[in-house]
Amino acid sequence: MTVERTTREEDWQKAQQRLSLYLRLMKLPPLDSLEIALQALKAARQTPGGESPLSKSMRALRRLLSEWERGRKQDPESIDGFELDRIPFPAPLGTDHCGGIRSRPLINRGFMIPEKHR
Amino acid sequence: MKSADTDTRPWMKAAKMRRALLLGLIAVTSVIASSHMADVLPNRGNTRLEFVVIIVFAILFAWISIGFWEAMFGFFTLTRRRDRFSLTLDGNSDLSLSGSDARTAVLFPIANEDVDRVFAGLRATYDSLKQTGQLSHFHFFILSDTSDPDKWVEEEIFWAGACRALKDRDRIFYRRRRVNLKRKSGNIADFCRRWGKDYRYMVVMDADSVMQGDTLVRMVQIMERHPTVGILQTAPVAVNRETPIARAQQFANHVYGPMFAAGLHFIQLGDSHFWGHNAILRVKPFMEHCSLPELPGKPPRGGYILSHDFVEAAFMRRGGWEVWLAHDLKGSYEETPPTLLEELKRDRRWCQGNLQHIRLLFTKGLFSAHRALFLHGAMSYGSSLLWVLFLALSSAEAIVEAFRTPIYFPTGRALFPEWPIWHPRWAFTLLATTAVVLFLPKLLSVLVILFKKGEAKRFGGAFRLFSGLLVEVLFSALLAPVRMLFHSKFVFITLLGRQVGWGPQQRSDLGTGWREAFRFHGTGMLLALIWGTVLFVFNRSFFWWNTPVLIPLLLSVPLSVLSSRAGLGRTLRNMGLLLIPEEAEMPEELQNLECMILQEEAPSPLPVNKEAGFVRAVVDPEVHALHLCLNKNEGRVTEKISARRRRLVEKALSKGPGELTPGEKRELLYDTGCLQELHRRVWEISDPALERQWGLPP
Repeated sequence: MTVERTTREEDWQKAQQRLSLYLRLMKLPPLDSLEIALQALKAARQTPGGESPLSKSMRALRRLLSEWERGRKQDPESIDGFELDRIPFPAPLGTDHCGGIRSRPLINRGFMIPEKHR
Repeated sequence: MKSADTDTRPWMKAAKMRRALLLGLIAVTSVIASSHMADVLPNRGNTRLEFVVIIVFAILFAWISIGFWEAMFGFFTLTRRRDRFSLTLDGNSDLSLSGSDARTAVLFPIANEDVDRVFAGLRATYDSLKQTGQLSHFHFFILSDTSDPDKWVEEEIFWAGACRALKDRDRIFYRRRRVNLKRKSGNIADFCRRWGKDYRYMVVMDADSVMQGDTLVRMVQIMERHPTVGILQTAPVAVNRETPIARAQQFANHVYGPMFAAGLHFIQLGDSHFWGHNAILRVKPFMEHCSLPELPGKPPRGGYILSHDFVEAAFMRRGGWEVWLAHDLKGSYEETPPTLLEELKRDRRWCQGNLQHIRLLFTKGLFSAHRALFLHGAMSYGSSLLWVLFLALSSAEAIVEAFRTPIYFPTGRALFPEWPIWHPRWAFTLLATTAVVLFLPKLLSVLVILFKKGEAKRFGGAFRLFSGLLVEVLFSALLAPVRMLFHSKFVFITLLGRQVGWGPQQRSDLGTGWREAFRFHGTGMLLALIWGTVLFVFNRSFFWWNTPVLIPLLLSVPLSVLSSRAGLGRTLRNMGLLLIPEEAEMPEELQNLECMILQEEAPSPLPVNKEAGFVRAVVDPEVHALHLCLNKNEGRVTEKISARRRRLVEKALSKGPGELTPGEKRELLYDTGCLQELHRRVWEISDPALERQWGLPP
């Protein structure tokens, strides 16, 4: 029982480290990052089912990140300069707008037609 | 625009006269040299073999005379300080495009290049342009044809990083083509089709190009002042290399290049070359006239045109637009191949491309100047085969003479015999003449520098300049036979119809290993050994005449290896040899370039190699999000493809990224749905071995 308990705690430890790493890589504001990590761990611990702590934690994290993102969109004053380049979560597909940076201008189609070799 | 027959622009009359003069000089000197050659031979050209030797010699001498006389014209231009037709003569001294509404796109077409270096070049050019205050007239495009999945993601990361670092969200663009149709020319054409109508000009760069901001602005000013110009090509100078062979080429480019470029300009005027990079093009006529046809037949002689630049220049001119070489416009830089093997790999591609141009020699509407350029391009490599033929024939002649019984009375009854004799004095005269043709232009280039106040100092002073000249001449003499052999092989292979791969060049100063050098040069060494042995046994005097060719071939492996060693190149530099002005006083844009190349990326909490782009796109949430933003989902795919991709996801998760082929990684990068799933599930991996492979800490 003690060994099993230790293993489970190790699993939660790993989950916590993984969450922290993910949030560090996302470069969220530090306080928000800590709060989301804590909420994700708590939510994961309360989730029933036989999944690993890591899976539960990451799933909870993704849900919380989406909620956090929605919350920020509704409150423009919460966005500061540091966030201008950040791509929202989840990332919009193929928009050519990456955190406010445009990857291509609008297309203005022209023609270049090769002639037959004579 | 006018056609070739009715076009009577002022410079065209001068061009005709200058070219007639050039042809006349080449013809006269070649005839004189060939007649001397006939006198040198024992039977004075009266045997079939000797006759063929003379013909081949005449063609080769005419070929080297072209360069000689062009250099003489260049010397004439530089000593007069200007050519009255030079486009850079008139115009404002101030760098302003304020009166112009022209927009210029600066294009970096790349395919599997060193991403670090490409973006360092872009940023150095951008910064230099910003300092002119004219940045608002320019946009930058990275046009990627990269197939390597890791480099693909690396490009995306560098692009976003560049935009953030330069705080510019709307001026630096990135586009990656999924299908690499027609390679570089297709890449540019794709840009033109999508965005060409928004730009009056485009400046095409190479992966290792850098241009000074002032130069870019000047090029636009020249194009605005001369509305008949379709292409303006600069003469880029080679910089930034450390290996001995590249340093020799840099030195040659700096010392002889200006004179040769001035000579080219003197002859070509508005019918000049386009070299594919470091040039500005007028977009509208380019789109109208320069779309390349597909040649009938299979590659290498048919199919897509490989060396597109010469053809685009010819087509632009056919459309009535001029093509000029701005030989005296500074601030345009490129890098040469760092090793002999990389140079030969590049030459293999160029040889195939240039020989393909023969198919276009009789294309309707082309100006004769461009037909001549096609022929010239083909002869750049074809002459090597002729040289080999000449050596083979003359060796055969020498061996045959060793066995032949002389015929003293060949014409039947005669009072006096005809003695078959060698004339060594005439042979030396011919050798001296050939040496003058080859080396006098180099000496004159050095004199031009010496007579320009303060110029020699930029090369380390007069003594070091002369020493550099001797070192460069020695390098050229040693490497010429090796190049000759390989170029002959490339021509032969292409004429046989075998294709050449078009892989990316290695542009960094990594050396050539001994094993690799032996693999490439071993056959040439063996051939030289056999040839030399045969000559030594059967005609010793002829053997000694050929030692300048034999010795370098026998030493080609150590030559190849040692000339690729950056350490040896730095030693030469410390000795003050082969110095170039940019080393004595580095321009700001090159200093910036160096800083950016040396700059280390900020450490990431994720222990993943920065070159593991695919892994970063799967694991790193920021890189993952960037990739998703830049790539649309493919939409519906067939069930078969869908099932295959699901299997790839399982394979990646169960065996790690190392088990995926580049093609499989690419497929996953295209499928944003699969990539998102992979990203989600990778973060839930708990197997320590797999964690390590995916860069997740244990």
